[in-house]
Amino acid sequence: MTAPSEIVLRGLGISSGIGWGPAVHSPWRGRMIFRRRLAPQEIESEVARFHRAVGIAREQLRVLRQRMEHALGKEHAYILDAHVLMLEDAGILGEIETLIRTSAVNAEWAVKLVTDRILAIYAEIKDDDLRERGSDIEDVANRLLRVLSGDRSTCALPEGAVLVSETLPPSLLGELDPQRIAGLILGTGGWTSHVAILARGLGIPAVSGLRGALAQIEDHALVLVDGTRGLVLVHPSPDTLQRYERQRQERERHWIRWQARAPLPTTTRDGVPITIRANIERLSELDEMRRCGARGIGLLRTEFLFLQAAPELPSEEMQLEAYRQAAEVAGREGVAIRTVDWDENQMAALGTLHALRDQQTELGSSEPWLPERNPALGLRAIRFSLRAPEVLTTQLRAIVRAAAFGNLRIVLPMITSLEEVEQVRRLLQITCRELRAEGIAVPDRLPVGVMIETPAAVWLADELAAAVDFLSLGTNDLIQYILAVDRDNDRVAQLYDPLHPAVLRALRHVVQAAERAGRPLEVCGEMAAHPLHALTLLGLGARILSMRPRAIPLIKDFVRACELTRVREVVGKALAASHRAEVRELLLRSLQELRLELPDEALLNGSASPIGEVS
Amino acid sequence: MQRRTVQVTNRLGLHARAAAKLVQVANRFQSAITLARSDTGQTADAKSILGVLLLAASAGTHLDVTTSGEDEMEAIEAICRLIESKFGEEEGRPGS
Repeated sequence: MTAPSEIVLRGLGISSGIGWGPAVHSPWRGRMIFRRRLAPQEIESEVARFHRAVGIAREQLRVLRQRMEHALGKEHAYILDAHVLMLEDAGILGEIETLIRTSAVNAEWAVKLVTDRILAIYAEIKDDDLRERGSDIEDVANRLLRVLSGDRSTCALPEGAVLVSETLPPSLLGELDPQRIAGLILGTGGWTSHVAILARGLGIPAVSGLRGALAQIEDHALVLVDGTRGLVLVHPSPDTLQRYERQRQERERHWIRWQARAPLPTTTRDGVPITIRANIERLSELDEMRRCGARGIGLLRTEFLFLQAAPELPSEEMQLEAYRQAAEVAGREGVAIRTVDWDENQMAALGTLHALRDQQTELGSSEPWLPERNPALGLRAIRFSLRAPEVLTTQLRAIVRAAAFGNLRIVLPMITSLEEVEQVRRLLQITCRELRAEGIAVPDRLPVGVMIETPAAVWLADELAAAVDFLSLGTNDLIQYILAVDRDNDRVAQLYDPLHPAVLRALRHVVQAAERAGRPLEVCGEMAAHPLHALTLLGLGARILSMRPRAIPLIKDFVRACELTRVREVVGKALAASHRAEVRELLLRSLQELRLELPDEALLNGSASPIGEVS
Repeated sequence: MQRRTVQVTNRLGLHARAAAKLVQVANRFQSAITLARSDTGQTADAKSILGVLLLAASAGTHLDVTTSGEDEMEAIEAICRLIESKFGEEEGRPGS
């Protein structure tokens, strides 16, 4: 018998790392339900089988709920609360039981008929939020059907499996346990999708954008997920596996060394101190941030608060508590809190848009809401905040109050004009005045900065720098807007190139504007977390880099090995280059001269065009 | 039998989370508890999440709450209090 030959599938790496195991297609996929007529003497045992299945499914949900609460926070787990209640609903259960008895059909068929009927009613509901609950019912029905089919495991997946799925339904998110899941292969879903964020947070390697190619992965076939390069290998050969195993060992060795050195200060070989800060997406990351020796928080994303509070908006007290915690952990180096940055589509998905409807904002009109066709260019980030000033005011009040507990600063996302900055400043003034009038202490100084992440902000960098206390380079969005590439669109994502000559020149312009105005510049995009890109940023003159905590030990070690004068020279040459390939070659060559001991994959980035190809 | 009319005043109405809370509270009582929309007369068993969700009661809807059983007084009290307190959702509204 010959072994099946290795197949290489290319996708978009959305969570780096390498994992392999048997492929398991989403357990919810294409289940066929058959009708079986029962003999009269079979009916009682069928009803009993159904109730046993309900009991097992309920217990599974309880376990998953705990895990989800642990991984995502209490506020997310309520999705599963509704699921549990559906399995306790005497109305639904009674209807299914009656159907089994009166029509003498198998439990599977009865479950299907009843859920189909409920789904049809849901489809008629006018209210968007309520209608969406229909997918929960489908989820619950699928779970029941799986238990009825004889599968008793709490997790739908065998240990060590690679999950293959077009997308991931909410109840499966709870099953993303890094102890059990070796990797994730998705048909669609980009870098910023919920699954991608979760997978990165949990350290599960993931590749997306495989679409039609999913069909080439048969159930239980051995697959290898290389999230760093954005590759999926089906039936990897023994040689391939060995190579990857060596890489894994090497990575582990490096990681141990990097982590041990993480608390040490970060100074280049020629003695220039570089400040490394953390980007924080959830409060649970604060622990890790402390361990990896970050000097403060360069970017506190606040979207998680809106996620947790959804479908309500996060209250002032809830925000205050979160900012206070971050301030206390960050200590003297402080926290840059970014006002909420998301678009209308994301809010609608959470139901938060409804919360705005009563608030007599322009957003809250009674007209039916239509999804934005182009959310990246739509009502998002600061535009949204200025359109819903109550939301912004609540956030500002919470930040000002939390400033009593530490060193805080405010950073405004997606700025395209000075007017936007001035508007926020006025609102901030009013907020401070009101707080003082209420007898609440207001700090004398609360620095305000802007994210430079649009081409408009690049060209206004001098004026913006003069108008604010610091600049923050958001490279992810900036690159997307300069190159007109949607990183979430897996068909063009390979055009997203942080080392594109146009990007380098824009970055240089911003760094120089900050220098001219004497304002600190922090870089807090994904670029800062990637060795080759970080090197480029240093060469351009950046001195403060902020990144996800997991990347900090590697980058710190890397920076210590760099000789800045040399790096500046190389980057100077790269700035004169007109082709992407030229830039890349120049930088890679200089990297070789540095003779750094880096694992290959530290240079790759699943979302960028690969620098080296796998042989 | 106890009967009382309350108005749903939380912004989102009997949304999933509110409905889940209501069902959880209703299940603490022995009494039978029904909710009926005052406008359409559509009724639902307060102990059934599906029934409550399908009422699709948005903000402003009046509901007739009926309880009957040994603990009907306590039950109607608890259910009405929950609805009137906006399911404890609305403390700290933005901008207020």
